[in-house]
Amino acid sequence: MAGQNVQSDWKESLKQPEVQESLRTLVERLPDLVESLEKVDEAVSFGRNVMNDKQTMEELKNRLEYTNVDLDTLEAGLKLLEKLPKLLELVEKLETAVEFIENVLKDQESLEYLQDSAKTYMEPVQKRVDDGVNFWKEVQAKAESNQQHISIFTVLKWMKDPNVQKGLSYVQAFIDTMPKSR
Amino acid sequence: MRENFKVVIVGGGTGGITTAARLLRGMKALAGDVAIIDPAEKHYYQPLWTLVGAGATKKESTERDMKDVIPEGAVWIKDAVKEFDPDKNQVKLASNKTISYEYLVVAAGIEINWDGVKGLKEAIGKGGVCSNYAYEYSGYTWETLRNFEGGNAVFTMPSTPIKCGGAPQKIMYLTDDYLRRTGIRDRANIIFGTAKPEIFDVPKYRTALEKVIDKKGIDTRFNHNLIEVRPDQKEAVFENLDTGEEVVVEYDMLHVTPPMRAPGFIRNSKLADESGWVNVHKFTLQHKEYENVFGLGDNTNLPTSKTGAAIRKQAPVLAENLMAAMKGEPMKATYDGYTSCPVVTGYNSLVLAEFDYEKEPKESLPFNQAVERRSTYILKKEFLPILYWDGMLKGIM
Ligand SMILES: Cc1cc2nc3c(=O)[nH]c(=O)nc-3n(C[C@H](O)[C@H](O)[C@H](O)COP(=O)(O)OP(=O)(O)OC[C@H]3O[C@@H](n4cnc5c(N)ncnc54)[C@H](O)[C@@H]3O)c2cc1C
Repeated sequence: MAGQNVQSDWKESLKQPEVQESLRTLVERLPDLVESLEKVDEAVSFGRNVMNDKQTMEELKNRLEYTNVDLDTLEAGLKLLEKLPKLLELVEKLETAVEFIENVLKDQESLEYLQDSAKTYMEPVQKRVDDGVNFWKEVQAKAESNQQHISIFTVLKWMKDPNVQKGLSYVQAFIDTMPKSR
Repeated sequence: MRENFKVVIVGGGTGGITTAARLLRGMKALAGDVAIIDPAEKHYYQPLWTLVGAGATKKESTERDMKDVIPEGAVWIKDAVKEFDPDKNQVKLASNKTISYEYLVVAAGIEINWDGVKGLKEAIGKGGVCSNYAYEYSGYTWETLRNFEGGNAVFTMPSTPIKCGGAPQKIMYLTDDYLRRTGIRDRANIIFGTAKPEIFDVPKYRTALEKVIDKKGIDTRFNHNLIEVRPDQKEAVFENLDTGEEVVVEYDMLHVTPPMRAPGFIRNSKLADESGWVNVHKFTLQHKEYENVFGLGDNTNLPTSKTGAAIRKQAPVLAENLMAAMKGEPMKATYDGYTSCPVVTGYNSLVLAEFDYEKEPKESLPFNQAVERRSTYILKKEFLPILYWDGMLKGIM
């Protein structure tokens, strides 16, 4: 039960705009992250060497005694270090995935293959698109034969209709997701 | 032309190209020092030939120019290897040139023995006799299927090891589906003449496939080995391996899976075991006698089913162990016998068999893969080819 709650909690939180926003930032910043993680990796192995070096450790101990690094800070630091191997593994997987996608995008034949297949999966959908086109034609015909005067108030009245609202939010989403170029 | 290389790879097929790419990624210093010897102009993604035979994919999409798949940093020697001399670290080419190596990787695939069935060579590619086991004939399978109007559709499976043990039945299930869709299934008898005693040798998938056979109403003849094709009488002759008697079956369509064996130049070499396959250690892929020789793929004696999916797991192990050997480090990577057989059971369904040396299922998807599914069919048809060209052959997946 608890597991289920956690899962739905986190599904819910994925829907939050601020979570989505930070995910997007995360993805954009991935290259930087990879770089800094690599640096951390270097630092870790450097750190290991340091720990093996008695003299330096002594000095470090002394220094720690005179600074205000408290236990909490140290513990947090250690926890982070423990997580590093997992994080690195994740980043490596991401790198492979990125490279794979780059290869696919460079590969004209694969892209054509995908496009061809997409067409076959689109066929049933295409029918619905065609139905949609008919629907619009009907709407157009009705509109053309409509003699009623339409004022801005009529339009405002329509806007309150929940169906129109829903439709408009689709339009908004569509505009948001349209490629920027063109 | 250069005559010696740090690493020489025999065969630029699935195993050869993947290994080259992995070595070159893993050790930048190898650039220019890895040679791939292969006489073929083209490289093939053979798993799609099944769908070509069923008219679901264009033949041309399974073929690419060899020069385009040779990884950067590898040198392609367009020639065939004729002889191995592992005591001198040399291979001899058809052109009579000799190439020396420090390390050798053997990945020359399996040899199709068209002569292994009497009359087959003359019959294949016409008169309703087809096979998905060669690029040039896979298109004819589709032509035969399209023009089939009823009668006996016969599918065969030989007693020898073959590549992709599931392919002989995949095309049969697709045929069944096609005939149902076109409304002539009731005019056809689908017969499976197989030299094996059962439909699949992993119990979990066997049970699933037995149900498929039952549902489709296929007439299975176990322990039946095709020995002759008589194109004039349209007869396929089987030997019943239990009784030794000959069984003649008339056909209107005959899909043959020909007998296969280790390539001749390997069979007759010092690298082969007594059955003719490259004799490698089953966990490390290193040759059992020659330490600087490695092998992978269809031409090895690895006791697992010969597939491209198996090579996907073998290549990283081989590359890692070969690099360790070069650095004088112990070999740590091991191959567990993983192999996979996506058994297409219809135009939109597939049983995804994955297992290891112990014939234990090793499934990678989070659901029971013995169930026929559309998602796994799409995976095979759309995603796996791209994973192959842009991931596996590049040494990253
Ligand atoms: C119809 C069919 C369906 C299949 N379905 C699947 C599937 O669904 N899933 C799956 O994983 N696998 C499948 N396979 C099997 C898969 O394609 C092979 O297991 C895989 O390609 C073997 O790779 P390889 O490197 O050992 O040999 P290959 O890829 O066959 O390459 C061998 C290479 O060696 C070269 N060569 C031969 N002789 C010489 C010589 N004397 N000198 C130099 N080079 C030489 C050849 O030109 C060739 O390029 C299928 C195969 C077929 C035919």
